[in-house]
Amino acid sequence: MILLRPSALVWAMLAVPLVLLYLRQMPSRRRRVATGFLWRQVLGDPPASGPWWKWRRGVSAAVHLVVLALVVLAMAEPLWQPPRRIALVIDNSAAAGESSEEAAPLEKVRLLALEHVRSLGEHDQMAVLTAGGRAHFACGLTASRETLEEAVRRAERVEAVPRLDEAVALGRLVLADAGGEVVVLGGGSAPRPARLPGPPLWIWPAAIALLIAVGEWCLCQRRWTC
Amino acid sequence: MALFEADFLSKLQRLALVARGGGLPAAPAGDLRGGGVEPIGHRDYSPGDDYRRIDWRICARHDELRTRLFQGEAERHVYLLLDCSASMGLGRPKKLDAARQAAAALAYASLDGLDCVSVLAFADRLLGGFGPLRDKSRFFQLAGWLKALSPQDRATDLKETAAAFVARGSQRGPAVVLSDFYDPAGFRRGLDVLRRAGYRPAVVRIFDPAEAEPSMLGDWELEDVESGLLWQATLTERHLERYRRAFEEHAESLRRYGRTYGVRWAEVACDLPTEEVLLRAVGARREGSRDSPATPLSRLRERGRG
Repeated sequence: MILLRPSALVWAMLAVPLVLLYLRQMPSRRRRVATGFLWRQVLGDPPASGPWWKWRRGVSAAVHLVVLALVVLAMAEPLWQPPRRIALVIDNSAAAGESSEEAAPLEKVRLLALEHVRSLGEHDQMAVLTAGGRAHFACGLTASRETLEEAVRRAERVEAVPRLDEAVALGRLVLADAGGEVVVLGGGSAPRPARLPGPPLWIWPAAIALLIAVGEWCLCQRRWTC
Repeated sequence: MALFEADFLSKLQRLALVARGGGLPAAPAGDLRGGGVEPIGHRDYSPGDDYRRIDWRICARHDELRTRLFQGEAERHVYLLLDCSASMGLGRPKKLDAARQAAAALAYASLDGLDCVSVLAFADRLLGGFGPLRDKSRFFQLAGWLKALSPQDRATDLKETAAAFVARGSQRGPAVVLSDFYDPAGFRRGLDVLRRAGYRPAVVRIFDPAEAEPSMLGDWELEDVESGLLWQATLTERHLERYRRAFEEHAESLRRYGRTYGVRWAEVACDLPTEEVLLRAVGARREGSRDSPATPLSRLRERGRG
């Protein structure tokens, strides 16, 4: 797992005042009362003191620290894998649609390219290159889906010989600094995109923290006695 | 603060005049037997004695005021049962202090009315007593005895106390119970025993206002001083509201008992000034009443200023 915003971890320092607050509140106050028979009506028969009472505030502090950790983790935007970088090469030459029955026509290539664009995660980046005639960039490395889809749609059929090797080399060049993969669509190649990514990972710790906070609020509102 | 202040006796003397109007130890009209005609002796005149009992011949002869005593005259006996359980040791000031002041006031008022007075301390049983007193000459000894009392590390058991008191076979008369009535078994059984045995119970309930309105929120360990039970709880506003209702219900049940069975009662908060404690103890002032110009106390004050 990697963190896109590791600077958010500084909020974990809030754990220090939280722990100090609990330490300050640790000792229970004791009072002698004359109206024990009335308190029995309110609180019921006194329970035998057990470890639960002693550790009650510690458990509460631990719960709050867990909530804080989850919130900080959500703020740091975790990812299970580093963002993907893809150079998508589209064969838009006229020869791609005519040479073989197995070769995908341009429209099918365009649809497949759009699928690849839509499979991108929030932080993934893609560059679109065309290989018909001279290889060139239809769109530079970007994470904007709208820009990438527009570039894919604008790729027109070119009456020229495909220059796939040139386009692949160009793609590798743009991915040279941080790595990535080159995907070629057309010329007998039609790889399907990876499964569409799910919701961002940070949602899960934020949702769990929210659930814990709501649960604790509900418990407190019921004014339970331990 | 001293239990019996320097001017305590003067306050009692003023109070005795007020109590003659019908305080707690006063007998209902027509209840006193007596009217004996055979004189059996004399005693020194005490301020407040009936003028018709003064032997004027002795006064003329010896220049002394002497009060006649008659045989067969009903000597009414007033009993003061003072709670000295552990719960009476709480409060600021202690509830036992207010109870002792109230007991002194009632004793003085009774002696002023020519009654015989016995004071008994109790908790879960009778612990001891002082008396009987028949005149005010021993009042200071009684005050000393009351001063020496301290809260005992015992619970409250009114029924057991009442049963032991009745078993003594003492002469019937008013029995004033000065207590906070925090008996877990309830106050009714004890007062019923006194009623059925022919003693006319009267009640002086001593309470601490802080017990009525606790201000404890959050984590608390509550220890009952009498039973030793310990509650560990997180107190919320809801708990405190339920407690206040239970406390008021307890007080109201005592008042209801008094109204039902004709038991005279008074309520004294332990943080009241001494004078207020004395007035309420003798039943000359009910809770919530106002001191209007028409009351005997204000007339006494007016006379004092004059």
